Amino acid sequence: MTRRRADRIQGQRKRKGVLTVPCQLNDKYHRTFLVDSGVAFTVISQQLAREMKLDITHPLRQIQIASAHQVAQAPVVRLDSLQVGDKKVNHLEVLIVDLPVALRVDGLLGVNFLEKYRVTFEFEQATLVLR
Amino acid sequence: MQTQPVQTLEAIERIYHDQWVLVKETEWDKRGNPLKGILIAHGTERDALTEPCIQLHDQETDVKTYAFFAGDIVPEGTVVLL
Repeated sequence: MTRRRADRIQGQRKRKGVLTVPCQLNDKYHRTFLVDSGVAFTVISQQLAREMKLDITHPLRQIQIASAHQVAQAPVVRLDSLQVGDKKVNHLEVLIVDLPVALRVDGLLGVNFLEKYRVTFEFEQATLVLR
Repeated sequence: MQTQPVQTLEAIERIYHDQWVLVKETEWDKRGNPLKGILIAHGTERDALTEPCIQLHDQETDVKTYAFFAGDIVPEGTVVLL
């Protein structure tokens, strides 16, 4: 059986809250994402999408999102890559969504990234382990 | 525009506490995480970074940037429910 090497990603966590980790998009854009195993797609903010010049006017498709607060349509686009620690996923589809202002992150790291790995949360150490 | 010095990310976080900052990365650790950079933009609103970021990446195609909030990601007294 092949054992994949674990990568331990040091994140941030305050007051026993959510875990955030640094991510790199398209090899050029380092941003902070909230790790969210409750969201099927990885999400990026509108501002980050503009900075990366992602083509929101011609998305791959629109998809309906159902959150605790709303049901709405959001565009789906494809990144060249998303890297967390040394784990990199190429051609990842992401949703572009207006994130709450009070949440000072540029995206949500969702299941379509996390499912590529065996994921362990070490909340006490604010660490995400991907193997 | 006045050129900013190269600073550690810790120094930038300290100086621009509770603001969004955009940094042009200049030095990385062996895993590629940014250690130092040049401050490009800052502000209390996330939108303050967007145009400077677009301009910088237009001018320098190989540049790497780090945008982050230099403070608590979730304000004290707030609980995240997405």
